Amino acid sequence: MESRGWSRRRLGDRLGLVVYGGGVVGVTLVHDPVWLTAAGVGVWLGAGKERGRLLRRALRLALPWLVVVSVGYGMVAFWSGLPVGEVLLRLNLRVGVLVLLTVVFATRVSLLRAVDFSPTLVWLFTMVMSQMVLWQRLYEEFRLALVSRSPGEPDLRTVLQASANAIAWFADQALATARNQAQALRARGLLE
Amino acid sequence: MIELTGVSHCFRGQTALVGVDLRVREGEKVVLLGVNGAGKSTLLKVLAGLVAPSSGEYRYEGEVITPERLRRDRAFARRFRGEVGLLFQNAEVMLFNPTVFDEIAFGPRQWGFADAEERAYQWAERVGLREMMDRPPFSLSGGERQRLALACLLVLGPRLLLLDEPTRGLDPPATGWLVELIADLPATVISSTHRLSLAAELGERAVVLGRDHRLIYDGPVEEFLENRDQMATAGLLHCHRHRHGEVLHRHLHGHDWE
Amino acid sequence: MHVPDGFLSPATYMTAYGLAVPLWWVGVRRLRHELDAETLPWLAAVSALCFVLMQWSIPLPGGSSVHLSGIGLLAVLFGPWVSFLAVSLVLAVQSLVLGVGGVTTLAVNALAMGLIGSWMAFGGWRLLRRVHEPTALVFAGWLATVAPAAVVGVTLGVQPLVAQGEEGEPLFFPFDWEVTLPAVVVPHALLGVVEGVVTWWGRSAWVRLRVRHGE
Ligand SMILES: Nc1ncnc2c1ncn2[C@@H]1O[C@H](COP(=O)(O)OP(=O)(O)OP(=O)(O)O)[C@@H](O)[C@H]1O
Ligand SMILES: [Mg+2]
Repeated sequence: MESRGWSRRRLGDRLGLVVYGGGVVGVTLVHDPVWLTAAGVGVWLGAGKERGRLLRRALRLALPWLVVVSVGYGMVAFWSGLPVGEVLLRLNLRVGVLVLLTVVFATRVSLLRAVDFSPTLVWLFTMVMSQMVLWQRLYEEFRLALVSRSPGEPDLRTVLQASANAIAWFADQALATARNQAQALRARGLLE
Repeated sequence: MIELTGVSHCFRGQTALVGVDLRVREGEKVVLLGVNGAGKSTLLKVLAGLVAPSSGEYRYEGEVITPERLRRDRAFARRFRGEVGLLFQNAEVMLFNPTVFDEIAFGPRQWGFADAEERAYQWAERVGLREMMDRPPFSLSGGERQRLALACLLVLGPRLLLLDEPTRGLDPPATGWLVELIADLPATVISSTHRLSLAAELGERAVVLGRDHRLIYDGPVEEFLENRDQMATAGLLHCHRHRHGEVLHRHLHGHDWE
Repeated sequence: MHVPDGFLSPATYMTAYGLAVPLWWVGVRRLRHELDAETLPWLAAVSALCFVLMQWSIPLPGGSSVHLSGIGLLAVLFGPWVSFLAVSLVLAVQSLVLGVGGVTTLAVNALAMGLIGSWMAFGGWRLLRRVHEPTALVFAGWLATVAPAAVVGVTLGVQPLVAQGEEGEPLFFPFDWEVTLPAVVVPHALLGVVEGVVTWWGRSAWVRLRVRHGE
């Protein structure tokens, strides 16, 4: 039995997915800085209580690219007399709005609920994500173990060697997991 | 030798340690007890200078230890890492060399010991891996890997040995060997476990972390093991049904499942 | 190398999606054919592996560090189709769940890294392995880094040519490929060496590991 709350939220999530997809395409079709600004403000206001944190996060993701491209283009255009102001304004606004939109989507909408019309997709995403968390920790353990066994910063050779071995271990683990998973699913009567 | 004052740690919102105060003198054998998730592994990683506590202070031989300091002060890091060895709960994360021999010789070579090879052979002998010197470490069984990882630490002659569930995967003879080894070792040893039957063998002093990640007991092992209330608070007792004659009973137990 | 949204014109990313969707379909079909019921567990496991590889950072002497892509290794270990699908899946999770990386650029990245990177690595390895296996593996890792970089460089570089405003000013990414290609490819040609060594050593370690499993 699924609860009413769940199905209502699922509806919201699907709507979120659609709005998001439309929004992304829309923002790449509009070139007027005024409209782009309006879209940015709209997304920001719609981001909910955490809008400050989300904005900072989006900026952190987008800024390195924007600074490099803007400064580079600014100099080139200044030298060769190309239009600068509007081009850069448009570019920065567009990238900023899209990154913010994606960050907001990722935090506000549950992709799992949004795609739960396909049990296969849900299962795939769940598997990948739970494995990711587990392995992230293991990766950290491998790193710490190397640190604790080395007198100083390990040299490149040691790092590469340790990485290669750990990666082989992960690859092996991936195989074992896949095999177990398939067996477990089979034992529960799925997969056939 | 070790001084922890008010050490707390949080992993991105997940509490692991709360206000731990602990002093350990040179040569002590300490056993660290606690349920799953109590923070044993985290505490050992703090002691190995791998995890910076979110608050509180850790001093080793009077020196404040933080991962930053160990990164900056190379000479000090070299000494500290040489003196302090941590056996990870998942021993295989420590193994990354192509053969068992290279694995044991890795430390001595890194620290530039002249007799690195000899030492490696000696310790391979002592942990019973002498015939497997050319095998890749990952090809060993779980218990063998555990012993190999242990050899990698012991070959450096550590002063402080931190063992995270060292008996995991060991068969009874290997467990017995480890217990003897720890008792005879001149080093300070802190071993974590949740096997109560082994607690008294691994050390004379028990340090217990509760479910709330606080230190709830610090004192002689025997005293802790006799105190049912305290063991129950620590969550180290379990409850299940069994038969006494014809009657079905249900009460708390302190024995191990294994 | 994740290109964020907003640098690519709709014509570009729509074309990329148009190419990627049938290829994803073909990939899944092929995998089903080979693996049958084990397709999904297999795909999930390789994707998780791919994710870990992309997080892997190798500290370089001097305090900087580089991230691996792991695509060369995935292609060599598991074949180019699985590698392509796994990369695509990881990119999707990263952008839609974790909010890093672009959505419009997802297809471009999946084609560049997943498809072209995997196939180049796989092809290079197959071509050279009879001559000298280690060289073949290093080359595979190098190709898997450089080829996607070149594709991304060209894709970014054509933006000012394909999407211009009324006065010929660029609407999306402003540099043409004479700038982007060297700017992207040169650093990746160096990173590719690290990737190549990891591919070589990683596969060797994996083979040693497999041997004891008796496979
Ligand atoms: N890398 C990490 N990221 C996030 N949380 C973590 C991490 N490592 C540990 N934790 C959390 O910190 C708490 C303490 O974990 P720790 O591993 O120290 O426990 P433990 O006493 O060693 O347990 P066990 O007996 O299972 O080994 C747990 O709630 C755990 O989920
Ligand atoms: Mg633990």
